[in-house]
Amino acid sequence: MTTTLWKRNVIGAVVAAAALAVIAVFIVNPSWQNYQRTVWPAHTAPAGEPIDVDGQTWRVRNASRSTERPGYGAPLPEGTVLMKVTLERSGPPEAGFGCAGYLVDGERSWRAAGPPCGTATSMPWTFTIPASAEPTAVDVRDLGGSILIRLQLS
Amino acid sequence: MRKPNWRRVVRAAATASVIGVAAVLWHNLPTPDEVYGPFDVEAVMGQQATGRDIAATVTGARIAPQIRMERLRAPTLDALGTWVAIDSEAIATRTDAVTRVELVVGPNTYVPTSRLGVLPLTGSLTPGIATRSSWVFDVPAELVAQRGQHASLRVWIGDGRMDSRLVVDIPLDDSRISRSDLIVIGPPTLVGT
Repeated sequence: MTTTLWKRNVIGAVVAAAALAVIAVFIVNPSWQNYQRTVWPAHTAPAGEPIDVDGQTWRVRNASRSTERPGYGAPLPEGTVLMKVTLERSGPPEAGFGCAGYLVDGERSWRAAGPPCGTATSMPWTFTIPASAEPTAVDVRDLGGSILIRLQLS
Repeated sequence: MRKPNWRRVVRAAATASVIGVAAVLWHNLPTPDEVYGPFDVEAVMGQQATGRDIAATVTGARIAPQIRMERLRAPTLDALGTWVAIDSEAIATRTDAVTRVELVVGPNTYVPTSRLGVLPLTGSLTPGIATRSSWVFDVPAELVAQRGQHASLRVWIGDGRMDSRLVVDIPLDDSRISRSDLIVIGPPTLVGT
């Protein structure tokens, strides 16, 4: 009788462990991987270097700071600067591709002004950032927040 | 008379105890709101509340039956109840983020009015650039008429699940609460920090 009970407990424990493993693999892990993609870039290019991703070459064409807004627009808020970063890719993207540009300074990031990038091969992005910020990279993120490419600026 | 089998008695008592404890635990499980709810960061008016994604300071409040934006040909709007403008400074701490805001007054909860369009504090906040403006609510006049009452401003980012939420207590008889006939909402101030 005691042996039977012991066996039943072992079987129960194995079934429970198997259920937990299935939950971990099929429910927890996909969500965890999705989160990780929003934290760690899938591809990283050193400063000044182009990078090939899915048959296309991406590069930072230009990065500059300005204390004035172009044209005759309203002046920039006190203590802020305008950072312009132009990205280029070697060809048009697949249909339905959308992305957004983010400027990165450590734990902080700023989204590029304007609509998401579409089919254009040249992406002139502008960011209003605090003058104290020293951005180190620009991210290309998909519309779900995953970091597709990180191009280092310095 | 048969002698009781103490071993069986102890087993039965232990089983009953385990079932009893499990039943009590089952009836006292945390609700989904308690499991997935936000982590409140509490502050009082004039004090900065800093959460994971946002920091904000309520600097004062204005109460009036009419409101107007400070720009040419802006109409004066009558409140259905009375206008409550919560003057604040807010800043995102990590990335650009759109705030969600509620004002709890008495038993009721209010969201910012949409009759003034999108005010800067209800739009996107930027890391490192503080935005000074107001959150404006239309609330029943009797709820803010009584002295000694408190309102509570709640501010958070996203859906609020398992993340920080700023909760600022606003005493309605504080000297930083002004009452007048008209509130004028001036242009926002943005300052890089």
